[in-house]
Amino acid sequence: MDSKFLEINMGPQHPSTHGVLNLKLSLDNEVVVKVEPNLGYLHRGMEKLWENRTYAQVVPFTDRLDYFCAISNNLGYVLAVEKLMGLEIPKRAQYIRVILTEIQRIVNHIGWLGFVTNDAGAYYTINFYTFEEREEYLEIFEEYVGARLTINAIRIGGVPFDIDDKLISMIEKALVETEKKIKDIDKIVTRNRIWLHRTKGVGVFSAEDAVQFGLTGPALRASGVKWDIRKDIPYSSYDEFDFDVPTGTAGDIYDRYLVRVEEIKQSMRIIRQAIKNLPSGEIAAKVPKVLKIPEGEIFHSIEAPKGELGFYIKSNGTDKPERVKMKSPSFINMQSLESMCKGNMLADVVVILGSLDVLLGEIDK
Amino acid sequence: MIIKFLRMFFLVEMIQGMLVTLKYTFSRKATIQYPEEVKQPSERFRGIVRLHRGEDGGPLCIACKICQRTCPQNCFDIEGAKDESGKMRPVRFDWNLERCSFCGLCAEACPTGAIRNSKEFRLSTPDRSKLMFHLSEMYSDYDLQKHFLGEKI
Ligand code: SF4
Ligand code: SF4
Repeated sequence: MDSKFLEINMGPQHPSTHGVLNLKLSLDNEVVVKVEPNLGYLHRGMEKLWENRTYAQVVPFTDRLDYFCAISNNLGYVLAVEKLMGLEIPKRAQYIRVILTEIQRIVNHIGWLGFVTNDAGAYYTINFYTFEEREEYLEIFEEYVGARLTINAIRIGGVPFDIDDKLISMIEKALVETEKKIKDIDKIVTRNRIWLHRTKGVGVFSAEDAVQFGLTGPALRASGVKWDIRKDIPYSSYDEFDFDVPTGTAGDIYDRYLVRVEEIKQSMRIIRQAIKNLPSGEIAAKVPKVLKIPEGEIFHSIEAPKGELGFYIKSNGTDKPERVKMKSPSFINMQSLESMCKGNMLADVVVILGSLDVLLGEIDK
Repeated sequence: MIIKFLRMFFLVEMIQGMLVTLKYTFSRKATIQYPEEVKQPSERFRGIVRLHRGEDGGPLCIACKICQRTCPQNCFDIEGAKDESGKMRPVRFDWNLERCSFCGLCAEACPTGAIRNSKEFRLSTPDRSKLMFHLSEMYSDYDLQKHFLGEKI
């Protein structure tokens, strides 16, 4: 390393790294020239643990990967297992899954809004508003399965509970509240000059680069690439819903913000449609108590709030998977961090990292 | 151009934002003052698991060990034996709170409904050995707060 650069460590105990992440930064005065993420502080050996668990037992473990959106992880894993089994899921269960995962997307994006504005300097004001909103959704989860964060709300074959009128009225009330909250946050943030200075033209990533680096999720769409697995490779009846995929143009932090706000609105649209057209019928398919899956392998990916979440499962004919490999969106998105940060100021690293929406539970597994 | 300048000069967007924060200053407080106020857990709340008794007061558990096999964290250690009337009953029922992830799979799998998640969420204790539960401590009528905190309660 050239001695004219200053090397500093950001993290692993830095309050803005969204978990225990160590970034080794090389600085030329205040300009970043090199970023070296140092991972593994939250490594729990999940993939190895799963080799000793039955297929159904893995589901609660997936809650702990991306603990901010547990249901999306549940769904990703469960859909992969169901695809491997060739299981047909009842329509009502699919719709309930859609409602739950879209609520989870709102929770993630609205929580992100609080975090990223916090990183940019709006110290905790917006964070408090968004977390009040998130609380309403967590209460819905608590009403539905009984847990708030690591909810384990999806089972192989369907969902554990049906949704009733009380839950639907709770969801509708929360959606109305969110609409109001988004308008308020829009008033505070969208045209605020500090926010514009901190985000416009910062962390720019072109569409070609984004595709080259395998970026997925809202950050990819902010660069102008229209790729959403819900639309392009529909799963769990997403083809029956009418929604738009918002894209940005500049690929900077500001566009990522706009894309995420628009995604919240689209998620609300999906939830309203799902509640209106909720089919009647069973909420779970018949699954044997001891689940043995014939030999084979599968990869299935879904559009999690943070990007493309995929599970690769190899089965060897017993009741335990031989290997489960997870393609976590945060891990892949983290690769683009260095290119985004290069040439920006040190203080922008925190906001760029926040705008990527990475979560260390998912990176380290 | 002039409008843009005036907007910038008079800090329009700042005042707009300030008005929103002012509105929130006078809105309903969202914080719950625990422990004076306690939020009621929902009907399906997944707290610590407890064993239940049947209507006749006898244990419901038939020591089938399905919960032991279902639990992803391997919390249970159960041993059963036949009682006087020839029914299988647990003689040893060790359950480890330290490992439990409150997933609720054991309660879903139990064929007799003996084991269920309770609504108890206050599970802190200064004594680590209190986190290992035995058969008599597993029943739903057992005083958990006294168990965890002893005389300090
Ligand atoms: S608690 Fe239920 S599942 Fe567990 S051993 Fe007793 S009867 Fe069987
Ligand atoms: S709640 Fe889950 S982790 Fe806890 S004892 Fe039951 S099955 Fe095991």
